[in-house]
Amino acid sequence: MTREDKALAKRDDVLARAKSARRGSPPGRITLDAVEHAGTAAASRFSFVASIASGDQRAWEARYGALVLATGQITWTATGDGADGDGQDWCLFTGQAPEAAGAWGWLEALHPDDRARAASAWGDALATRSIYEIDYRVRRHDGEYRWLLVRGVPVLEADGSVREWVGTATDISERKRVEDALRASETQLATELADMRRLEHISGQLIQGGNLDALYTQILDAAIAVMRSDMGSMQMLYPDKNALRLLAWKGFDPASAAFWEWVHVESGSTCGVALATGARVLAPDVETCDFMAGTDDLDFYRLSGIRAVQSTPLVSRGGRLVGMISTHWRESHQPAERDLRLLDVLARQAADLIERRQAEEASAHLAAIVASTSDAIASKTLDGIITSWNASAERMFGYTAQEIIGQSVLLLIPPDRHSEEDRILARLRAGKPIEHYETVRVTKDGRPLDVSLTVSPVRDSAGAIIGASKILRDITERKRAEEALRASELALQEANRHKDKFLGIASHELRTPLTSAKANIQIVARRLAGAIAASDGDAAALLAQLRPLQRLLERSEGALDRLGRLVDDLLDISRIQAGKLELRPEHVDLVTIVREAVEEETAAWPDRDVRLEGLAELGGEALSSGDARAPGTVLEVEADPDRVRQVVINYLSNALKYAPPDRPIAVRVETREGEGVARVAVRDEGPGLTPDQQAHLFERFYRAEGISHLQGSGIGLGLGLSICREIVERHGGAVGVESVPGDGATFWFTLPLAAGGDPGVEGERQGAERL
Amino acid sequence: MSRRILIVDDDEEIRLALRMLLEDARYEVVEAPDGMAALRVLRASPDHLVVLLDNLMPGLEGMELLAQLEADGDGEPSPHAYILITASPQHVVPALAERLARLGVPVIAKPFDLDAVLAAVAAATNRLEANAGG
Repeated sequence: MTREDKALAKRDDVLARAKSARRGSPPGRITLDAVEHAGTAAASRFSFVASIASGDQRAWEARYGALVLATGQITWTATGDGADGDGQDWCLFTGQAPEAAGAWGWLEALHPDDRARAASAWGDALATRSIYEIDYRVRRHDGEYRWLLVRGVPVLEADGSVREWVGTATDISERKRVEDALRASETQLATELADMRRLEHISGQLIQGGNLDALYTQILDAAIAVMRSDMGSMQMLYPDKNALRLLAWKGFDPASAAFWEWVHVESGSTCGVALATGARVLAPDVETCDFMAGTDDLDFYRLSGIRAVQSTPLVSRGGRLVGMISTHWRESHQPAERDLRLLDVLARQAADLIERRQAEEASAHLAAIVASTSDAIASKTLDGIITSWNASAERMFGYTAQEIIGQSVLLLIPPDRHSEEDRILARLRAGKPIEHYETVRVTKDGRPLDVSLTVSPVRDSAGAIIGASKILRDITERKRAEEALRASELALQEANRHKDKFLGIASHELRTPLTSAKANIQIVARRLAGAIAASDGDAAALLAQLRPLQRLLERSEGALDRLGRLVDDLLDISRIQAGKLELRPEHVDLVTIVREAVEEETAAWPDRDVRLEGLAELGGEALSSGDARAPGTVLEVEADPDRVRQVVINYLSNALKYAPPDRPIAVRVETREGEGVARVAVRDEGPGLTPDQQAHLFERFYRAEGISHLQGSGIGLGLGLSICREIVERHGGAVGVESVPGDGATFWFTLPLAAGGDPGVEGERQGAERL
Repeated sequence: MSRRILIVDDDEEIRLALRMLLEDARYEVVEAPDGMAALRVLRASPDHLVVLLDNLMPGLEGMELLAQLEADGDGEPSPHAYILITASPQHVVPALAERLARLGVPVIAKPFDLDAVLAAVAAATNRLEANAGG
């Protein structure tokens, strides 16, 4: 075995021992064994102190050793084949015995992890005769591993063989430490830079806007990255419910996500506790977390494979808790301070931006309302200068925003209401509330507008009142509707009043003839009984008693007739209301009908002056003569003669009832040229009617108040004229009254002339025209 | 002695029937066709009369007549005895019913029975006589 072979064998042996040491035995002892072993093998050749043995020499050694240790600067030499050399500094530094350090023994002083690398590098340098440079850890004599930078240069002979190696070994532990620290700090810097970039990116996204949900996901992704967690969730606080709603989540089992859709303060989750306390909650291990024990939340953590969790409140700069961000780990985990600090940055930023986004959305929502509402919305300063003006205000008032902004609000207020504005502004300045009220405003074209006005103070961020916002609603339509409603209510009340009055009168009118008929019949019965008892068979005396009774029975008959007419009226009205008033139209002469009706009605009033005028008069008929009509007085209509007679009688009986007995009543029949109608009018000289009475006279149940009538005639049911109108209108005609209060009244009706029913003689038409 | 009865009704038929009934019963009868005429008679009458008063009349109605007479007496009740005849007793409103009760005025509904009228008149006559005697 050559020297080189022996040296290599030694190296292999040392490496094998080092490997087995790393596998399980304490490194110190192995190293010691190795040193001892190496020492016996190569002591003779690795000798550098043997020739110097004096005391001076020892003192020098000590000083030199101190220097080597102090500077960490080692010089060394080795033979060309590396099997021997001067390792004095090395032995001083490492405390290795010179014989132990020889050949490959120096490897024993190296950190076991570095030995193979060092052996390989030295072997390569020996083989290639090139510069040897390496750093490795060496166990110093005090047991501390130090980094050495080792360099060696081959000194060559003329034939190119290596005479020796000379080298240095420099303790570079300090530099290494600084380098490592630098590297670590660079790594951290890079990580933090990446995190910051991520935050910055999110900020950018937040500012740019867009979909809020996407934003939540981005924030969540960033939180998961920053926290190096496996899962995460983000929740929004609903203050009205005091509960958190899940906005975004990652990595959960869907059942857990569903369970945590809403989280309340009493929840056994970290986010529930964080909501309750307003501070971050860490659960490094959910299995040992006391507040989770026995809760459903724990089951759902397990379901999602969550072992550790933290929840950090999202608190805006204004101090408002807007939500929660949580991250979750599959293994128990205590988040690093640094990670939590970064998360806080993220959370603060996210909270602010979410709050801002919410505010922006709310204000966009308000702006949309302002733009789209049908109410005019305007604002003004405390001096009454208009500062904003929405689209509806433009529509309502006719001023564009451009025209009106900067103008005084007085422009919109009618001059007689300007003081109203002074009062409003004074109240505003005084900070007093202004009740919503209704008033009038003026449009650009001078039209008054009924508006409902709401005024609210506008405050600056410090709370000082700086103006007012007003909402004006056009209530013209509503006012109109209210008036219509009021009118219809009044009409209804009036109708009810008439109906009540009608019932009272109907009772009176119906019961009065009934009372008199009944009383008369009772009297007749009593007197008959008395007379028969008293006559004692004397026929003459009995007859004298009976004669007045005849008159009583006649009166009873009259009363019953009256009752019959009232009942007829009631039945007519019932038929009209039921739409069952039947007409039996015939081709008839209106003049005849009118004349006969007048004769019939006046028979009971022989003293009254009732005159026929117009066609009837021209026909040469005198009422008193009464009989056949003269030729040429025919006025043909298609009508129910009984019903037309009823109308004439009604008009006439009213005139007889209400007009003074000494004044004449005129009944006129005429045609209206060009209208194709016949017209019958009854004129009296009674008290007349007011316009209001005229307007309502033909209404059902209407009765003109305060009009005296002839005694004993009965006041009727107030149905007659409404029945007349129905009859005439059903015939295609019209009814009406013309009157001046105090100067009598003319009641008229028209009927369409029958086809070809022109007046029979020329003279009549001329007569009619003349009238 | 015969007691005078005033019949106030705008319906002549009713006045006539009542007159015959009361005269048959030996009362002396005075008629008034409306409230104003009745007021004149009552104000002028030295005697205390029994008054058969129709409520619903043109001009002055029966209840208005009573109110007027009460005002005349300066709070003192009218010395006459009244019987109100009405076709619609159900329309006597509470205020009027209270006044009628206070004045002790009986109400007779139309159509009336002659015996009921005679009984009411007899009762009123007795009341007046009791008052005069007291």
